[in-house]
Amino acid sequence: MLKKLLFRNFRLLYKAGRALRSRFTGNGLMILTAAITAGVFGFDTWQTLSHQVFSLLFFIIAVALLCSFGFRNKLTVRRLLPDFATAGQPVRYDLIIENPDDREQVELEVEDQLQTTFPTYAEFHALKDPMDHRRNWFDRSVGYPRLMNLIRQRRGGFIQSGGRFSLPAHGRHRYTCTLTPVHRGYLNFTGVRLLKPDPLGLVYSASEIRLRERLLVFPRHVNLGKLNLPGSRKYQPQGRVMSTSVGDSEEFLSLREYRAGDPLKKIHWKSFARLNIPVIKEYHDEYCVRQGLILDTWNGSGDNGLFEDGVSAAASFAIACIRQDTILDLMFAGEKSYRFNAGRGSLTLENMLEILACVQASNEDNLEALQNMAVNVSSECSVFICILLDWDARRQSLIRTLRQRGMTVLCIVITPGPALTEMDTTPLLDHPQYLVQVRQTDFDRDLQSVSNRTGPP
Amino acid sequence: MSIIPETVWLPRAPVLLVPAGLLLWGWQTQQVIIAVLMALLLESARLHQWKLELDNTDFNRVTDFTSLVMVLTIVYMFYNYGSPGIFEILSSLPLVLFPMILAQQYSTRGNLNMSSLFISMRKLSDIDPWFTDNRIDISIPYFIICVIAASEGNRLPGIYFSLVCLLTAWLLWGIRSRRYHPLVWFMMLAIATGAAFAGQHGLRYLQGQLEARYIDFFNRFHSARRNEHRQTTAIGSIGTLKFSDRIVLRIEPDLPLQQPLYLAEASYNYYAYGTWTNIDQKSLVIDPELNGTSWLLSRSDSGHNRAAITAYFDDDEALLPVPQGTTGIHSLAAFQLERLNTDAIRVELKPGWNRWNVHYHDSIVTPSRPVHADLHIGQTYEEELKQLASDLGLYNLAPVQAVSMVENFFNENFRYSLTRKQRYPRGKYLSKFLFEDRKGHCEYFATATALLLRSAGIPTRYVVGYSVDEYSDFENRYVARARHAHSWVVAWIDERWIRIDTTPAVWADLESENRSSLQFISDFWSWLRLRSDELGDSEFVRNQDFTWIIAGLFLVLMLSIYRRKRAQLRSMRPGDSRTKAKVQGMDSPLYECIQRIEDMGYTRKPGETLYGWFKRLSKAFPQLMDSGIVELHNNYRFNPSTPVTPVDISDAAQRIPPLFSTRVR
Repeated sequence: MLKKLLFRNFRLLYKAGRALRSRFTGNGLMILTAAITAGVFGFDTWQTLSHQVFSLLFFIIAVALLCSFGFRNKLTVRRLLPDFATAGQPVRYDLIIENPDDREQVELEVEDQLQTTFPTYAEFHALKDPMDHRRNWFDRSVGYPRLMNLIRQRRGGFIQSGGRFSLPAHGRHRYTCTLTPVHRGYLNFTGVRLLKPDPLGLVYSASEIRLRERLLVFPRHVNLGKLNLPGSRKYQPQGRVMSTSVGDSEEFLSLREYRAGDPLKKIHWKSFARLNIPVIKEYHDEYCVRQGLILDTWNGSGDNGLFEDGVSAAASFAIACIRQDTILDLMFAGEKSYRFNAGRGSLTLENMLEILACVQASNEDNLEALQNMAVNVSSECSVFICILLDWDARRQSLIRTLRQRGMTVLCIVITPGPALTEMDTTPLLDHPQYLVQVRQTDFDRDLQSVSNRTGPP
Repeated sequence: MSIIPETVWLPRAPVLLVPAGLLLWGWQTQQVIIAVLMALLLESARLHQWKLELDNTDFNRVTDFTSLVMVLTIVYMFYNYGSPGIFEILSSLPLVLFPMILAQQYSTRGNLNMSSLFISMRKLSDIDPWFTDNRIDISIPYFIICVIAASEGNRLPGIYFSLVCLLTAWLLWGIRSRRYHPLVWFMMLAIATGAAFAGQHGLRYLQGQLEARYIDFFNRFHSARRNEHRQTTAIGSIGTLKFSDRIVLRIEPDLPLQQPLYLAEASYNYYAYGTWTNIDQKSLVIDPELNGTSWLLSRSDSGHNRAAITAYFDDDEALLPVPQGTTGIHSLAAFQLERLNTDAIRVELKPGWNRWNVHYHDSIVTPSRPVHADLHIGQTYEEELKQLASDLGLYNLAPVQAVSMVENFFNENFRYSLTRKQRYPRGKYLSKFLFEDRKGHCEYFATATALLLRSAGIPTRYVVGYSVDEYSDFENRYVARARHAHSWVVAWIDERWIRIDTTPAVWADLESENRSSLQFISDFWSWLRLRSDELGDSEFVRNQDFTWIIAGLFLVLMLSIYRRKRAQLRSMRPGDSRTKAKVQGMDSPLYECIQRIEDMGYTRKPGETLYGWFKRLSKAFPQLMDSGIVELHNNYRFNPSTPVTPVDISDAAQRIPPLFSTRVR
């Protein structure tokens, strides 16, 4: 009850804060704060002269507010976004602002806006913030910083504007912003606010231009270097013919004359035209390295940061594997099971990262579906990389099943850290070095250590 | 490491603005010399290039120190001044926050890290990638604090207002928008200043109007000082009366009290519409005895009872609560003592805790005789009261018997109540009490008794003060709380004033039922304040002590920063033996081994890494890399959690020189 009441007050506080920040300049907020402080101390006008300060600052703000009305904007704005961005990596983009008016616009400011939605109480209540243990008791129990963190995550990015600029009559200005995505997925841009300060420099006149666009943000990833995962090449029946020139066995072998029973799709039409006899393309059976990347989406702990790090680990492996010219099967389960195949003519690395950018955590135990899917492809894959969010009996059972089918399994277990957790290595008894603990607090270093551990078990 | 770029909040204050703010503060709070010194210290930071290389940890220390001083100041000010201490805290802010602005001005960075101001941020800064420890320039906020703190001086409002306008214009000029002509800026500011001038007068007028309208309310609930000319009662008020548990008086009688001790503060003789007043406001100044601290109210009689009374006075003028039979007041540090016509004692003394001894009789001994006003009833109730007096047969009784009859009348027919739910027409409050409700608190009883006896021709006065009955085991003396405030009547019978209290005796118990369960905390706090005053010699001495405490803490801070800086400098000095052991891995045996290899003529090129050098040498000595000494050394030198020990390196190092010696041979 009290928490709900607090949450409602937070919403009011947040909206009031946003309204103030959108209306006042930084200096304006400072003067407003000073006016409130002077008002508090000047409540009894016979005790101090603080009411004089309050009166002065109050009327300064009032006059500035009065002068801030009436910004008739004729400017046009276009946004030039990159194709994609990566979480945590700042990216620059431009806003093209044109002034069709005869009047010069001086000291303008631009604020590009990302869609911001306020979470529901249920979302706020279910949220677990890994930073909470570092906060003080009051912040932790009241939860306002946690809520702000959640809003920031939902907004998905932080935009740093390029400062004030002037625009001559009929002129054009390229305004560069720096976007730092803080979250994978799609970033939704809603519009652009053009701001004009009042003569005192305290309050903005704003004009809003609706400009909806979206930008794909890939998950954060770590450079894993060269992975030397064990596992033999396996025959890839059918389907791999789409491969063109990679792999150690050139799949296109030669041309030969047509024999009865040859499929028509294998006719080489150019040779047929030249020779006037049907010529057939002969293929060699395809053998190549195919790896399975299993992403555990069952986030039983409710710690979203754990899952996000799991996705980042999956993205890091996807990049490392696809760049090493292997075929990668990404498997995860949500409401249903998903399997995506990348490399060698299938999905590209960008496609794979896009999928990982949009993958969602699941609140239900889906390990069985994941296990079935992995077992089905186990005959084609030479090694499985399992990104797990816990090392409980259910997950260990999954690993045991894969091991029983003779698969090599590399287990990456994401743990909150900072201390290393004691983990039971029984499911990977013959090569315990393939059980890697990646702590959230030391994510990059722990994940990079995987490349040192890989090699024949 | 944060991924969001760092920004600096707030611009830097224009040149000389902060010193100007400090001087304004110094002028208003009469600390000109301190302000001038502070201003010079701040401004000199601009004039020379000497700066301190303070990092975030140093800033954290400075702000922690400031916070500590701030907390001490708050405790000290509230401890000594009570709630008005808030203004003392305000006036001391520029001084308390000075280390922060000083650190900023003398630092190479020129601004503070936000996490230095908020401890909770410090914990997040090293683990949360989305958290940015932004910087903040505190020069403008500090200037604003100086201006607001200066307002506490409350001197020359016209000049203060003009100076504040001037300084604000100075500040705003620097941050104005260049989009507009300066004339537009000037006009806007002029409009705002004009409106503010009228506005600040308007605020004072508004407060005056509010106070005039609700003066009764303020007097009744907020004023600590009793008004000797007027006492507004709660007669006719709706709701439940609530009084504070605050201890207002401490009484140490020579002998334990057998019955409640009545300490009178003031008495009144004219009643109308819920307010008692004194028409005659004459007073008589009583000269002290030769010792300067004793005043004799009756020279013929010294009184056979003794008691010491302690009370806190906010103001330098007060009505002294004393027993009504007081013959002399002793050991009172007062400048002047007056006896009012209504026998109240008014004193001029130093605000704060005061203690005095009284000599008194159980019976009332006062020289004043009744005046015409002591028989005044007023048209509102005259008819009803005379009828009641007639019904009670008071006209046929001797005054003493009449008093007994009245006491019996109230005792048998009335009960005590602090609650009134129904609103009555103005001027009918007492009628309703006497003839319908027959319940109320002491003000009803005392007023009705006084007027009823007057209607029977007996002069009476309405007296307010305290009824002391509670003994505090903790303090080992009697205490009177705010809720022990009481009113009663004195009647002129047989050429002397006698006390008549018709309020049912249960009143004290009923009022104590509402006491707070945390009363013991406020009692302890009150006792602590009293003790501190008893221990301290004077306010001046305490202020001096406080300044020394702050100066000592400042010294500790400076010393701590100096020690830290010295340690940093030492760590940068390679030859210092004191730093060698502290740097991780500097005691690696490989260094000695390297020296020996170099002595054999295999010199390391300038800038060549250890690994590169060994790799180069391994072309001639292939076994060199097999020793794994470089890996062991690097692990020991740069990995704090490594299990490698110097013994491991030493074992590997022993195998190296023989390799070279073989080649030499």
